Amino acid sequence: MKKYIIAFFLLAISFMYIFLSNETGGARVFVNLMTFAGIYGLAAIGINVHFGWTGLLNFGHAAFMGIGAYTTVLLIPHSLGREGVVISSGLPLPIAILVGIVAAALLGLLLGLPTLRLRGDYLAIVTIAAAEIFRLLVRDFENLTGGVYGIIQFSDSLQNSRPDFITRFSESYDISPAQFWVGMLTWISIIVILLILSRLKKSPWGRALRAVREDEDAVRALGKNAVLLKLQSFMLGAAIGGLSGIFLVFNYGTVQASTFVPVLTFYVWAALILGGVGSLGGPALGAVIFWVIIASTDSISRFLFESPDGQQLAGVRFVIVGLLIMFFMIFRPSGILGKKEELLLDVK
Amino acid sequence: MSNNLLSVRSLKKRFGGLEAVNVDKFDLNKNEITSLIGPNGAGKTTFFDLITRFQNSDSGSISFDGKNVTSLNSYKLARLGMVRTFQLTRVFDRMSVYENMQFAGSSINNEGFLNSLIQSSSLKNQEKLLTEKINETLELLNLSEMKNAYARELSGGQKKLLELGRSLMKSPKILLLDEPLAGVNPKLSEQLLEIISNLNKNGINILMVEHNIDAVMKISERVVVMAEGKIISDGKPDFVRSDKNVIEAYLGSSDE
Repeated sequence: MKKYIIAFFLLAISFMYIFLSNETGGARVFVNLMTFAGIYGLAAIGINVHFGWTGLLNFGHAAFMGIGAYTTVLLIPHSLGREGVVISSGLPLPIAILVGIVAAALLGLLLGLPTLRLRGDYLAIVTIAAAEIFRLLVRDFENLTGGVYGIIQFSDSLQNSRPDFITRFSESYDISPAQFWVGMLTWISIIVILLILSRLKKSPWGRALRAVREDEDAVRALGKNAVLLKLQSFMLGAAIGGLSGIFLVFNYGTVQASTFVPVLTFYVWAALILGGVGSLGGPALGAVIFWVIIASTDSISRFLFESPDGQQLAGVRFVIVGLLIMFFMIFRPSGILGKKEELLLDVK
Repeated sequence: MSNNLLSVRSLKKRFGGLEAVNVDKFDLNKNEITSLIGPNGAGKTTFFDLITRFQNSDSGSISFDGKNVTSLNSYKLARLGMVRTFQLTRVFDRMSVYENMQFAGSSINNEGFLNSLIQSSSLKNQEKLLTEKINETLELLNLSEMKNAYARELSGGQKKLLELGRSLMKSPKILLLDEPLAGVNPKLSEQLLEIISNLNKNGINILMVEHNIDAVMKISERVVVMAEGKIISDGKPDFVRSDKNVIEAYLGSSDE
């Protein structure tokens, strides 16, 4: 119970901070922050299925997010960045999103098949490499992905579905209606996915994943196919990552290879660690806290430097996130919502 | 051939220059307690690993229950009814004792992703039915009180019991126990031995590696001695006890 009180106070203080530090446009900042938090939270939920449930070390989440995003965007009307090639026909958005999610799951299958027979550390290395290969490929296949110029003008497919009341509400509070709609859909997805996951976590399948996390050999000795279980977990987490990538690019309004750099994966990991590995709601909560910290680094930078440039901002951001993760690892390694008893110290 | 549950022919395994296992012929007849003894490094555990398919053999053949299982996956072999425990106890630390047992007992079908998502009433019923068997087994092993504790909170001996209990949930045809008494206090040892011989009376074959010679001689109907990868003696406890080869092997290793 205590941890929920801590979580509540952390959130309350964070939100108060946002509104107090932005006399004008507090609502706008809040929506921006919560949208990013939702997207990172969703991505962290995917990694949580991998690591928290099954003990799989995935450091290439950006690739799953990226393939989901690229697949979906390429299937709907869009235009390629540099030459402005406009492709005005495409699939209906829900189908494109579904295909994007499936593509992410299939990438999980592709990466998992050769690596999941190996021990955890190998998977970590392979996933980092795979994510970088993915990013470099989409950067260089300019004809398909727009290269470094990326893909633009695809947001209408989503924004056309925006109900009127969202638009009206946004206007009266000076919020970006497009972002409000993306953020809202993200948090609805989180709720739906958490409901599904809570059902799975308690199911025989979820129990089997935890057994795999604890000891693969014992799982095998009891007649269970550990590799198959790991593969399924890997694909599920990848699919969730794919969905978060889709929301991420709709939030930006562009798709660029530079979005899916390794640091994206590590920020998602940071959110997961802050929230609590293995807990159901932890990743989403951790993502909110993470984004509050990111937002507050700007004012800390302004306190340290007279007029901070981008590099200084990024530097302060890294230092603060790093310090915070250290703080959590030392004083509360189970995160805010994690169970101490289920703490993952020995990764197999 | 037909009345052999397990039958091993010319099974070999080398690690570099070391011939870890070289067993010409090993048959297990139905319903006996067979113990595998031998000095450290004799290849007992490797032999276990080979016949349970946790390691690949270099050559040779293994058949179990009339089927050739020489290249079968370990988990599939376990499904056929050959269930093992480990020298270093392997329990699922961060799961409760009860969950350890549940996982062992639940059907593969119920653990399917879709079945777990849909959760039909038959799945729920089967999970409920499992409860009875788990409670019975925990009762048998004196672990009922620890039901809700995390497995890592158990003592070493209790972990051994849990590992045994978990294996029993599979209703095995043969149970391969790798040092079931290691690190277990004398009183618990007695209890474990009694449980093992009761299991055998109920039709479960037992093959165990054990260093506690007194216990081995007391409980086993057949003792197999390994040294340097080979079987050097095989027979009733009394025969093995007075076998010259055995005395040499043991004295040789303890003198060094």
